[in-house]
Amino acid sequence: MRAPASPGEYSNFAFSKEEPPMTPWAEAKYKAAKPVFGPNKKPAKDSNDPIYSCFPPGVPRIYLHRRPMEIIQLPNEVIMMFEYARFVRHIYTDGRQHDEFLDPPLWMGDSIGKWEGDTLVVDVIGFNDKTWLDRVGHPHSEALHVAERIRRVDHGTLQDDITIDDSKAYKKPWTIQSTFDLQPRVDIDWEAVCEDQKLVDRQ
Amino acid sequence: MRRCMIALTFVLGLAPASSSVAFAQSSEQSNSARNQSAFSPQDLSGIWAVRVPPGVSWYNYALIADEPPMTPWAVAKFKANKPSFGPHPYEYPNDLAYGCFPPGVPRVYAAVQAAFQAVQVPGRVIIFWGRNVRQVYTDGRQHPQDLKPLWMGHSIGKWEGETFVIDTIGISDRTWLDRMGHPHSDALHLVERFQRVAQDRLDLDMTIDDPKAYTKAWTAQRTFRLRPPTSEMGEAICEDMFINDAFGLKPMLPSTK
Repeated sequence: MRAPASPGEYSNFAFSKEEPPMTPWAEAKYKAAKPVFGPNKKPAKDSNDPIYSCFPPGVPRIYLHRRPMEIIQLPNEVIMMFEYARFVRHIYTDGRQHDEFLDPPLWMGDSIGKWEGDTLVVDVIGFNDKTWLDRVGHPHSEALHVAERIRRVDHGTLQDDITIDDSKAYKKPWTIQSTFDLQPRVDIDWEAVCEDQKLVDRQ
Repeated sequence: MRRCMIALTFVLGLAPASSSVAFAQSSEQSNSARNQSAFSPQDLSGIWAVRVPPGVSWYNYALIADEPPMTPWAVAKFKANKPSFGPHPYEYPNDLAYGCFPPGVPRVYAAVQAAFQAVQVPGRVIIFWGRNVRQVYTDGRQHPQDLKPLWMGHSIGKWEGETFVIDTIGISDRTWLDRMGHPHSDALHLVERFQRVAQDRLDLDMTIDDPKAYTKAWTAQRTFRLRPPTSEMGEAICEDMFINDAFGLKPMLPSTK
């Protein structure tokens, strides 16, 4: 994903060209999805992509939306500020465990992290099942467990190796990768409010 | 061609070593003055929750107990606003907050559950109101010329001794000053003065100056208590509550772009 993606290239909307090993449960959900990208793409007006209801996109899908993300590294947490969806993700690195009483479950999951040498290992659970894993509509269940290994491989490159483990939706865990290039002097633009696209019919 | 999809900026600097360097001078002064002080008055880091005095209901919708001195322009706008909070709530409000728009400042302070997380990094104090982020620049820059309206305004900050002073302009006049619908114009100038008076206590004195909407500048105060370091801001998704027909907000159509 380091090379610039051209429109239509899969890396704009999915993590892998290959189909992940879906269970029948996931196949059914995948068929019901109406994405605007990928093999099942539908006209925009017919889409049931949850982001068009202004819901947060979920993890790891948010990495597919090509807008700046800034990382603030603090002693007790790593904060990811995403311009896309104006989302602020807190990854707690102070040794705390997952919140066991997440009710309702979360759109972006409950993230805890720890440093293993130069790698930030992030563990995410506690998702609701309303988000898609990507922009082509691959589903997940509330059992989704996302494991990320985030490492700065050189000065300007951040690499995130992501394992998707969801036994209800996928026959076995599968891995994907996101790569980010450092862009100095980028200020996140917080003004793009989803509801403000003049497409919301408020009355 | 833009080479990269997602920018990454590592902002380092709140490691204990560097913060003690950054605050060395003032810490020495205050430590000698206070001796026992276990905190730096110039460190606002943490999650702060508003302290509500017992029996004060207006903390949930207003900045002050009395009516602020509105101009006729503001009175007309105030009458047109239909809040769901305050002494005259409407069943069908026209409060943009129900459309999941950012609340603006100083409205964020007019709620009994008001809480924010402050993060200090070189050149900035970042204040998180959930997903509504204020970047307060402390690198000496001025407000830009020809500022377009911003949901949370454009903020610059500086330390005056142990007081952190935030100067904010450019706040979109689509936002209200509070949750009972007091308006403001695009001329609103907000000055917030924060003082960490104890390890777990932060005092705020704010001045609202908007000559188009108010006949004179006026002030409001709040006090905040520090939450334990293990607390979290939580994932409060406005759309979970308000994307339904009851609030008149229908799902967006996807953009075809």
